[in-house]
Amino acid sequence: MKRIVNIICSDKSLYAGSILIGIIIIFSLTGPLLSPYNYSSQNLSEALQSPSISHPLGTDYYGRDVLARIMHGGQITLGIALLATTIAVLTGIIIGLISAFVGGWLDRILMRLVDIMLGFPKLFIILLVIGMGYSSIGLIILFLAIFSWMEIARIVRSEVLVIREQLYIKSAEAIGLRRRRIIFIHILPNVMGTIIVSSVLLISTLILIESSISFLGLGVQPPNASWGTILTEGRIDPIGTWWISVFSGIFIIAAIIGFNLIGDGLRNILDPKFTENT
Amino acid sequence: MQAGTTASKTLLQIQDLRIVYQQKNTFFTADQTVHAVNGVSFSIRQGESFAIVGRSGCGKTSIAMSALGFVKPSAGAISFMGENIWQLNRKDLRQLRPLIQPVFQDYGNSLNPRMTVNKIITEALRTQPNDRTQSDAVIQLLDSVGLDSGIRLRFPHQLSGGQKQRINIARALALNPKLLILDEPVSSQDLSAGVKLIELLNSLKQTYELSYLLISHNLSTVRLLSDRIAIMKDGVFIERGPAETLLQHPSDNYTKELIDASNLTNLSKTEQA
Amino acid sequence: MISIILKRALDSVPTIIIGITLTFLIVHLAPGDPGIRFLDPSQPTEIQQVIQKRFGLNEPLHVQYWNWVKRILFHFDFGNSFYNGKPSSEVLRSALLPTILLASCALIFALITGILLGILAATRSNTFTDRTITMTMMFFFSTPAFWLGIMFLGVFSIQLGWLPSSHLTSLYHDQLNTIGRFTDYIQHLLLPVLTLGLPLAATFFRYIRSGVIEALRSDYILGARARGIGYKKILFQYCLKNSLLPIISLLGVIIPALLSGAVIVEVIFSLPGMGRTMVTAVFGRDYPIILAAGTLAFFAVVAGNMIADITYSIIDPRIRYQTRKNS
Repeated sequence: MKRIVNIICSDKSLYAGSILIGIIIIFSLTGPLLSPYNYSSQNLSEALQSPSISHPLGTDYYGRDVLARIMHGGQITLGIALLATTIAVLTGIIIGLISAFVGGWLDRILMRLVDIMLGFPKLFIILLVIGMGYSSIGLIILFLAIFSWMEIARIVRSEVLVIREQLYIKSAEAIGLRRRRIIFIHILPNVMGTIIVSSVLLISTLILIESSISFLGLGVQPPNASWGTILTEGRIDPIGTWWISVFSGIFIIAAIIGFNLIGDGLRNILDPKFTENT
Repeated sequence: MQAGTTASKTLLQIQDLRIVYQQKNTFFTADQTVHAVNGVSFSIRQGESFAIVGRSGCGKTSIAMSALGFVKPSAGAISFMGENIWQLNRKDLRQLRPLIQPVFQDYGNSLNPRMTVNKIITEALRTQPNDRTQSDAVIQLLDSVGLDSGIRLRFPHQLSGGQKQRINIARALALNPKLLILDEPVSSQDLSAGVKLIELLNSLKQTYELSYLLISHNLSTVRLLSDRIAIMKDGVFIERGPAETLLQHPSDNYTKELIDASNLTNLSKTEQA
Repeated sequence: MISIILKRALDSVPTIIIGITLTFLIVHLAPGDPGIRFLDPSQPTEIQQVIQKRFGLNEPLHVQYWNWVKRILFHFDFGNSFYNGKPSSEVLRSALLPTILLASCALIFALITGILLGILAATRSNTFTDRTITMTMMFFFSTPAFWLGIMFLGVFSIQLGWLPSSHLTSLYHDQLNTIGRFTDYIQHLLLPVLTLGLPLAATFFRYIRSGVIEALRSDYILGARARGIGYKKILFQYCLKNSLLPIISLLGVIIPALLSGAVIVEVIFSLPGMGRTMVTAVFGRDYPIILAAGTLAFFAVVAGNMIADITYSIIDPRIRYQTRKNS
């Protein structure tokens, strides 16, 4: 634990990003417990109030408290992004490892698949799948993951191919270690840094895609609300109901900036060459 | 030369080894083939040390990699203690491997940067049935390569080049090997350190009943370690013989060049000092 | 050169085939029946079947697929829209212009802004100017297009009333003279282009800034300066050229991203482009339009990748006559 804190403090971007994301997570998790309002309870007599003391971020068309909705939306948005990233990263690691170790025709087929899927216009295809009626939260997570594992797989494969040629791997082989041990004890830990950096950056990409889809009205459906769903409600009258779009948008931006900062910071720590330039 | 040696005494036997690298090129250009090793035969008997000397790119490292089971020969046979290592299944190969241990030239890169010295050596010890307790064994191994036991908890990047190389040797010794393959054992060190290392390797050879296969571009360093020397050029041995004979009466011009390049006098002086 | 183009073209065939097949499957395997949408649910099933038959939706999937492919290959016919009965190719052709206009203007804007600000920040690295620009760009880099779009719309169109809020042209566009029409386009495109272009400019900015900083430190630049070559020449000729390489290789990723972004921007600003047509079609289950738009999107992305590769091989002499790895 102490070591983790030391690492976080060693880089400015990482420090700022961790604090930002920490605040957003705590806010989303504990907020609904403290707030007097429920994210979905309607009160038409209080509809469309601008920010006030009783509703710090105002209310929406149905008189729902925007703050309570944003806190709930944080759980949904971050939950979707984190789960989809986890699935995508695990898939990417497994496929990358298979590709690197089995090699031959399987490697060629898998990498061809990666190439093809990387060429897909991501938002278009996810929009299509979700728009065609698969819009439950579980399926959104699944589809986000299905179209996001390729970069990780490619990174894992190429890193493994490089590391496998390192002499300490040859030495481990010469010692007579089992292949499983070589992969999990000697190779994977040395690839992990790169994987973590791209996973963190993937989280922010997925937050962006999910909120874009929800913004178009195709993603997270009422009564549930992600930040994108909330934001789109304020679209009808961006000036008269500015607080709906502005505040939910700020949270989306803050989360994306936060994860980008963490990603940049981790990259700086792992690759000293990068530090001087960014 | 192999005629006189009996099978029981021969440790490593290499017959007519050929290694060809296929360089797969793009869709529109032709494939290229590189003949790295072009028909090489030799054997190493128990307790003997054999050196292959040649400039970089002559194919000497390919021979070593092939004997270690990393690079598949295109033709020829490599047998170790009577077993053709390229015909063994994966399990049998894994059991044979500890007996042939490499000490690579790039010894810094041969240690996993994320493991402590203790872990590196323990990992090797664990593959062997051991009666000593492991921490004792680690200390004893470090001691036998002339390192202080306090070094155990360090990571590779906290060690000097010489220390890393000795850790590599200690790790190899942990497996009770019969043959050590040493790639440029003394190339990148200053002279006095080199002499110490040569002494260490010679004494280890006695204590652990080792055989050496030495790979080097420098005649002077291998001369004090090897019984027989082969000179390699463009994938073949152009001259071979007992170390001293070869050095004093080289018959090939290329060998003479190498001897001149090795600056033998230098080391002899340090020896006397 | 020609061999590179040929190879890339061959390489992209599977992408297109798999892409459009997948699109077809997603559309046709989706739950729900477009036929039902025209009908009162209380209507007898016979009428439903008649409608299904008219659209060819009652045949087995592989037959539908084969018919669809055949029509495209031999007649360049993507089928007619379920709604207004117009041929899909015609619907898309009219939607293509706004999207191409929007995307290319945004790309040009982003390149110019990104390069200029990148050089400015790099030459003044770690000063107040650099930090301000970098922070602003970090903000735009992380800002979703839809948020930026809504804010622009609210402030500049609704609150200040400076710029029109929707469509590509004004109602009286046809009555204007050439200059009038031109300004009309600019007024309508300014906000959408900014919305789409600013996040992209931020991406370019990051690459240019770090690339130029790195180049300025490298030995060959120091050497050039020592030989007395002018600072401006060094900056724009030596540093910039090297920093542009990663951006060109990024083009393969940028083109799909531009198309994705265009969807959002067109929806916000009600531009009659591809993206908006797509979203309307998805909402309305207009199968022929979805499939045609999907096919076009895949072709656009593949073409973008090819352009990126070819540009790259022209600019970087090291990889000329050789194909790039991993692509």
